[in-house]
Amino acid sequence: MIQLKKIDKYYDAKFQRTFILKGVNLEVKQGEFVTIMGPSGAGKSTLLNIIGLLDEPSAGEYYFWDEPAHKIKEKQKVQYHRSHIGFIFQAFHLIDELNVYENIETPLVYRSVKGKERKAMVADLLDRFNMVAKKDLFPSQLSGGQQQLVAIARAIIGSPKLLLADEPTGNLHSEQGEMIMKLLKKLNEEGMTIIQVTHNEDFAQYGTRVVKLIDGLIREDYQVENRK
Amino acid sequence: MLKNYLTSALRFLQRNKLFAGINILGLSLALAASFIILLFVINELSYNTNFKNRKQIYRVLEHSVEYKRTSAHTPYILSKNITDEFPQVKHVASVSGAGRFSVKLNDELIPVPNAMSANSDIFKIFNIPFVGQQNNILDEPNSIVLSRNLTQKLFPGEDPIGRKLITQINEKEEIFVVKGIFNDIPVNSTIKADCFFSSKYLMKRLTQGIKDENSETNWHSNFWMTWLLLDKNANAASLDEPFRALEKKAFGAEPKYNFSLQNLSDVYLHSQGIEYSGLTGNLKNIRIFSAIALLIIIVAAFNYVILSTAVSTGRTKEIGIRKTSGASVQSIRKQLLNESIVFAMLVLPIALFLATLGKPYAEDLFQTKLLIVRSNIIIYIVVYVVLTLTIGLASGLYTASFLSKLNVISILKNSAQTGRRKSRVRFALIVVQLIIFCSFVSSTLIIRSQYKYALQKDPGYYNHDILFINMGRDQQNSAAFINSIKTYPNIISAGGSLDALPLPYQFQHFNIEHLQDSAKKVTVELFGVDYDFIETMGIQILEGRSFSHEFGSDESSSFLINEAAVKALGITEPIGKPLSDGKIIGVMKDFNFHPLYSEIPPLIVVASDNYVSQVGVHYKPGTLEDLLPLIKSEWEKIAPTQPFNYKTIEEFLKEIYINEKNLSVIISVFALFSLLIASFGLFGLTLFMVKNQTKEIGIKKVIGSSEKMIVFSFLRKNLFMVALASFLSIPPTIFIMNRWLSNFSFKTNIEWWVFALAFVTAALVVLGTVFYHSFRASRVNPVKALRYE
Repeated sequence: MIQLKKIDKYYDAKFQRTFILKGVNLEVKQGEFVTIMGPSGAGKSTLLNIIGLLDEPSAGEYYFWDEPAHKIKEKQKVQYHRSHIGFIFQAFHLIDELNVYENIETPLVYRSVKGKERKAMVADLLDRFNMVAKKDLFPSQLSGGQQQLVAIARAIIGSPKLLLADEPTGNLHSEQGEMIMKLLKKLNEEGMTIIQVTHNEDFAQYGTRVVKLIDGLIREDYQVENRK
Repeated sequence: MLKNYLTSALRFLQRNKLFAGINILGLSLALAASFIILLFVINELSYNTNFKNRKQIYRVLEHSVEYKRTSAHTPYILSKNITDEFPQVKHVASVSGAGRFSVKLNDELIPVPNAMSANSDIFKIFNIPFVGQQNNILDEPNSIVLSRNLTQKLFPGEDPIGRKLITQINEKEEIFVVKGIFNDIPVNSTIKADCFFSSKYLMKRLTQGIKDENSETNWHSNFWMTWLLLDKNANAASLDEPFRALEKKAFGAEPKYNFSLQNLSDVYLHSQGIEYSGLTGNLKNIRIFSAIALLIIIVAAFNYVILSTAVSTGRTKEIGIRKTSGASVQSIRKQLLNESIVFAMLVLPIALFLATLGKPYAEDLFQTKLLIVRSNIIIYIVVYVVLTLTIGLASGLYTASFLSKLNVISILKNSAQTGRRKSRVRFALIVVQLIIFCSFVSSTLIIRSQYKYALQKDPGYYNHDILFINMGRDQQNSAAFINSIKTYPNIISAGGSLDALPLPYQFQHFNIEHLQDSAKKVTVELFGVDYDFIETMGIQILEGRSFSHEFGSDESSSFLINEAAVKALGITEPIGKPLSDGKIIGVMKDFNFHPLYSEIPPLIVVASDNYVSQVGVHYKPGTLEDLLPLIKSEWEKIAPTQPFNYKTIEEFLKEIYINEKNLSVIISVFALFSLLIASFGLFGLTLFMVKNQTKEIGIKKVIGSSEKMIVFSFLRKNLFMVALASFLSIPPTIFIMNRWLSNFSFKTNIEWWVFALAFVTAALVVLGTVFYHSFRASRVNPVKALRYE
């Protein structure tokens, strides 16, 4: 599903080239739940952003669903964002001005789903996440865990093939974190491919595979044995 | 999708009430101001546009070759000649006002302001529908046709046709028969009529009144405006030749008068220099006011851009998220554009409300009634809505293109830079706003100083301690009156003349041969005074003597001429020289015979006690209050029934230059507006910047910066902005003001302090605005500021 070949990412400053990623090769198959780990500044988020088509590699090839993603145009990226990729972030990134319902609805708006259909889809998800009572609240009125739930709901409402999570539990305390991880695992079991970045060794155990990144290089890549 | 956009936009506004408030206030003030100006401009521009066949409607102008003057008044016989000899003209009508006209109804006099005298063709020319006999309705001398409005007023609910109408025209009673009713003529028309009565009646009155036995056939009896409707297939130029032929027939082989046509569309706004042109608009004012409206709008639109780009950093997150949810750059741009348009539309009703509130004040300021003309309502709506939409669109365009391009990753990492480039644009926008303000202020000051100059410049006669008393027409006892008031010790001197000085209109002209070159004609103006007027006004005699009874023969054959006349006529050693049918007895130093708009013309002054219609009184300073009752009692002795009308020369000068004063007031009001709007923006912007720099301020304080230094750093940047703006405002202001000043032949210099004052005003307001926030920010506890992160 995802194939990275010799991906470089660097910044040029005067006479020096600073590498964030260097020669990264990575293949992710459909249905996998990959955890990218590594110390701060290792390039985890950059890698995730490149996979999510938010950032572009400086060199190398990236095939998304066998399409050369390093060559596609802005317009097509937008199409991928609409239908193939969902994002969740450490800082939740909900739109403060929209309530729970409207936040979840947003991606559907861009996919021009009709109002009635949207209503049904959002209602389904709210039901599933036990958040029906909170649908009229605003992000600031929710706890961190609840906000992240909304963010996940928003990410998956368009049933994307790929869910990218950048430290989804970073701002949560452990109990909430666990709840989120369980949810992600469940989504994975239902068939969604997930790539997450995390610092937490425990939470890595919810996935099927761990990729360790240090100074822009992949140092370890192994399957999780005792999956939680 | 729109709903989703709207909710987030509205809630964003709700959350940023201050920002929204400032923006709404600024935009609605600017819109309200421009709505009022537009109301005026649209009304002026829409004059005479209600007549569908206006392309074919013309009026005849008569140009005097000798005196180079053009008049809209033509002889009555012209229309008859045109009817008979010009096949391309379908209808012609001679029209004239009636003077004071009122209708007597149940012993009550109802004044009719616009009573016109005309012949039947008038309805066909202007295509005014009417009830009654369709042809020759005004042929009988005592026939009258009323407007619907007047009919409603005089005969509510009745059919007036055939009824007798008792009227009073210039205090003389007449009986007319109502022959028909015509549909009201739109108010924004040159032709204004509550009723038309037969021109034959007025002709009769004229013949008796001015004792002109053949005024119906006299080619010099110019009392009528001649309107005509040209055939669809003919053009105005095709009348040139027939007109030349007609001139020869009327005025002889070398005609001194030319006829020409003026299209109805040009009558209202393009009749400068045409005498008796009737009600005309002022194209210059329309231009000035439109420019002011445009500038105010620019200030407000810039405000919107400045504030929304600044505050929008709060929205970048939303934009980033929307992008990850599948929003394209276009859809973000569309969203932001929609928002600013919706925002502008929200402001529309507030602006309309403010405009209604401000209308009466504006009417005072513009010195006209700002009518809402019914036939213009659609134009108002379209213009207002389009203007509002344009502002929304224009101000949203930059914001949208800027924000939609921001990088998603940096937004989501919370490190979206407001960026150098952007703050530079913002800086430029603020500077432009300040330039507009500074130009307004310095223009106002220049106009004011020209106004002051006009009042204070030595005109060559006393411009203080002079009282003018209006004698009215045909006052027989003026000499007795002057002699009696002269006896008061506080009156230094008194003398009568044809009119008060300076004369706001051109007086009687005539042409005199140049003394050295008899082929050359010099146009001089003629003015009549009594023996004491020159001395009373303090007009200096350079050579020879003034009028005096001692020489007995001064009346009508002795002339005083001014220096300009000496020069223009090429006279050497003027005293005693024969001129026209008299001789020169003295040369006066040039004085401002007319207001400062025009040069001093060659002038000849003649003496006669019979010309007095204004009496000039030169009194001892400070004695006016005691004198007035005394003079009034003398006035009552000679004219017990006439009102005592007087004005000091200061009052008179103020009256003459009222337009300059009004213009300076109007511009200063709008200067205030622009400053108000711009400072709203600055207030919001500083608030935002201070908020964003809380961390920086905290760090600076930890490192050891004093509060003073922090405040100062804010002020310095803004002061630089003001200085730059006031400097840049100088060239355009000088350019525009020089053009304005070119209306005057005598004018002040544009002085540097005008710009200095503009700078100081702007600096005070800007720094005052900035100081408040920066002072508060500087007081912040660094611990708190750093925790903010």
